[in-house]
Amino acid sequence: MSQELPQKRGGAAAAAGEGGQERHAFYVYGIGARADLEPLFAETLPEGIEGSVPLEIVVEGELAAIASTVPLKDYDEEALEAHLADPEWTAARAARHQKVVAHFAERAGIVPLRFGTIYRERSRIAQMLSEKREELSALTARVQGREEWSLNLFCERAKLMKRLDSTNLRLREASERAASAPPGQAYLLRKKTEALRSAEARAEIQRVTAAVAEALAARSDGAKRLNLLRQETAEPGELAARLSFLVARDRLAEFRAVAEQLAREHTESGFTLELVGPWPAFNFTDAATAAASTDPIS
Amino acid sequence: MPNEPSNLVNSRPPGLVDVLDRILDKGLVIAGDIKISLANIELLTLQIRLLICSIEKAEEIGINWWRFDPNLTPGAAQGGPKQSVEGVGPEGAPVEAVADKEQENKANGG
Repeated sequence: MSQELPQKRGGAAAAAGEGGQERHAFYVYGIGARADLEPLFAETLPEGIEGSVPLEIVVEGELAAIASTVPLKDYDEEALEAHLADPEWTAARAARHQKVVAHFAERAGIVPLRFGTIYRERSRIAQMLSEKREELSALTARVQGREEWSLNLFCERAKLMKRLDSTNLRLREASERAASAPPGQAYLLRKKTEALRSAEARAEIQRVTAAVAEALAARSDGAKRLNLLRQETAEPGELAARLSFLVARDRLAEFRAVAEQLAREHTESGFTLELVGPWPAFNFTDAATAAASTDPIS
Repeated sequence: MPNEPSNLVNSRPPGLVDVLDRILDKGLVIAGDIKISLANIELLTLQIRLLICSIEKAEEIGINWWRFDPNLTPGAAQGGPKQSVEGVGPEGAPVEAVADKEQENKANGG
């Protein structure tokens, strides 16, 4: 049974009701265990996606969803599609969505939902919680006491090259050969050496990425490799890899110490590790990862 | 690079690109009653980045939360918005597929 509904609005009535009251839909931010979320609603909460409209909790069995009402005039399919094409409108709402999810994720296990999960009725949220109970319970359990940490791996190419020149035997041999060759041949050999340098650099980046991923995966409960996104300027080199980990809060110190250690190990080769977090578990919410304890980074 | 003991950087307030990538593209997908399609996340993200090139604009929209929310950014005051917004340039780049799966296509027909 779902909670009693203060004002039950029929679907048709809500959609067709005219004049007077503004019609609403229900925007959902995330899902967690009822026992964890309910107490948080007694405390100060961040604002909802529409600013002034407060957050509310929808409970069903052991689960609960964080939601708030949104005006149907802005969130019905057509209107929403038009709004989403407006980056300013979307950015502001995405920001508030993130704020809400982050607030709860810092205090409880939260399964964050993708931006734009909207129901026409409060009762439909309860229905969804009930229908997906198994999956949602598993996901909620998975994020319990854990948070997501991302790791950006940057590589300063010039520094890496310098390092390779002094440590890589094949490379040293090749450049020595080029240096001692007669002029005509030297040119070709230098070109070959350059190609070899690039290949060795690529291989080194891959090797370091794999080593970092493996070491940190061993200290976390989930690991993923993310798409590379062009980041902002003023970065320490080029972005070589983006990884994300689901880390238990009580192992965070250990996780961080290993990251620190890895950073130290690879500093001389031009690598910088950047830890970004904590995040709500945005990258660990699909059913597949709920089942597997640690999905390998390939 | 200064000779620090290690190159571990800590970014507690996540950068804008990371934030948008997650909110718009990650998280559990549940089909609600209202169908939405964020058809082109990359384009949308790019547009948003262009839009908030300036701090002022970011503040106006409220997407500079990392500066003010003490929950997200303890000691947010000193860090300033530099690292997050300033560098957002117009060069927004497409998402590159990560896994360079170098598929060694064996010569066809062989």
